[in-house]
Amino acid sequence: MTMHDVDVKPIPIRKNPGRLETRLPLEEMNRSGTLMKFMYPNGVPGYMTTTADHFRRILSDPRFHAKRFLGEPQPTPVSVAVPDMPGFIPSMNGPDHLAVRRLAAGDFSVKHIRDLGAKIEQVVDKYLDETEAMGSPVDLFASYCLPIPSEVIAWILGVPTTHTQEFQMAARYTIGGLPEKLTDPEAPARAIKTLHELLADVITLKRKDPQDDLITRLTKATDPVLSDEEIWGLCTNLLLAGHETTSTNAAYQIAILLDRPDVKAEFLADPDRIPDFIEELLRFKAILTDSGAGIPRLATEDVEFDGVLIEKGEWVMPCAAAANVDASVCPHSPTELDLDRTPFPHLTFGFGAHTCLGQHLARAELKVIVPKIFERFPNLASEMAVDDLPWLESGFGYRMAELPVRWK
Amino acid sequence: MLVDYSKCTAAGQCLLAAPNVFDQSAENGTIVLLDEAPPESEYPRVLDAVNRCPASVISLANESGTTLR
Ligand code: HEM
Ligand code: SF4
Repeated sequence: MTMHDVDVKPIPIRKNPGRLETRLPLEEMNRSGTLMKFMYPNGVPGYMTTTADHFRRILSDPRFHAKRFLGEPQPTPVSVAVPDMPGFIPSMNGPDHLAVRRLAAGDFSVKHIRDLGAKIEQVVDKYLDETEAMGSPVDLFASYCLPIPSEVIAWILGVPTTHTQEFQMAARYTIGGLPEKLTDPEAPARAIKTLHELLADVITLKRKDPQDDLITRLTKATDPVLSDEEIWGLCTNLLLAGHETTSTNAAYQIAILLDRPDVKAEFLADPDRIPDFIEELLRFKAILTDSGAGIPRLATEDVEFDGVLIEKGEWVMPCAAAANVDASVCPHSPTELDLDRTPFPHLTFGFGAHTCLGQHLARAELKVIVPKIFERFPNLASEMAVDDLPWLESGFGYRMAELPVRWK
Repeated sequence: MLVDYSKCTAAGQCLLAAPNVFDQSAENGTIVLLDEAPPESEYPRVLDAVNRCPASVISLANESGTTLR
């Protein structure tokens, strides 16, 4: 922080980014059309972007570096830090980043993910059965939304079935466990350690007995060669990036549909259009950044940006929530949820070299997870209004804490 | 059509926008150009791909090599 940051306004953090009736002052931000400097609760200022153009330009500008989770103070609305590891692509830049990212990218390509459709259905059915067996009422976040993405990632990585249960348990605790366990602040770090040991074991197995899976491919990578440490870091990265994000989005989309029977009827009336409807739901609520978090980037030199001098060492916080309601991308009542819109490329998955690697997987999961719960439980009802659902701090901003529902 | 492979971040937007023109490598997810000179009927989809590509990999040039966008 420099002297002239003393007057910087505090960021309006929203600890409940799911609330429908309030948001960041997005339209006001859009209208201002400029970068807005805010002070984050940890005392680090950051420039939040307010338009889609700024969002895209900053995230594709190599002068701004992704340096996440490096333990150096960066603007964040929450007090939870994600540990950094070798092989973590969100902290790499330039050609090194692309080289490592491409080692995993084939497995997340459009075609590979299409081939995974039957597997996703199978995992979803399994957790539908488990949820039904638990009985109504139930916390649908814990019983259904949370375990599916991590089980699918375990499958892609090639975690053997002998290790899946332990993997699933550790995955659950990386995000702080479930409500009853939240009192234990050490749980996430312990879970990461468990994952480390488990994946080290799996990597050794795959080196001895290669299979058609991502971990095997990573052990054989030549450009660059990855150490075991980097492989487990990259695998942990894939889990952490795809687990809480997808489950929170799934739970939130289910919650909105439960809250708005008219929207739900429209959603379920046309199965062919579900992929488009999911896009609109993703656009409407970029949960991650609607809390006041951004996608942090560090200026590696002084940058003159549309009349604002961003000094070397300062942070910019591209905000997808603001970009998604920019009239240039969503011209008509952009702050409304409208399933009828022509889908357009929203920015919830980011932009630039670090654009979400798992976006096709996330979509493939959401388009099964969300409709299938209504198929199985036509009388599904939420115990709480969307606005009252509890949220928790997480490494990425906020995640849903629970989604209490009943079907009887 | 010009494609700068070195920048491709393997996000697959191009193939979703114009599946007759672009594909994604099964090995590393990067762009594969299926048709270097697509027919005019593909232009709107190709333009969509140019706009959607998060890493500005695809650009268009006319016959004399002038970059159009
Ligand atoms: C709805 C769910 C999801 C959302 C909203 C989401 C959003 C994002 C965003 C905004 C970024 C960019 C971060 C940055 O630029 O620093 C990102 C990166 C990433 N995402 Fe996702 N994501 C989701 C699901 C997934 C899934 C299922 C995976 C699969 C494993 C995944 C893997 C990744 C990875 C590996 C990165 C880092 C890419 C890089 O740094 O090059 N994400 N995600
Ligand atoms: S959209 Fe761009 S970055 Fe993504 S695969 Fe196509 S060319 Fe590569």
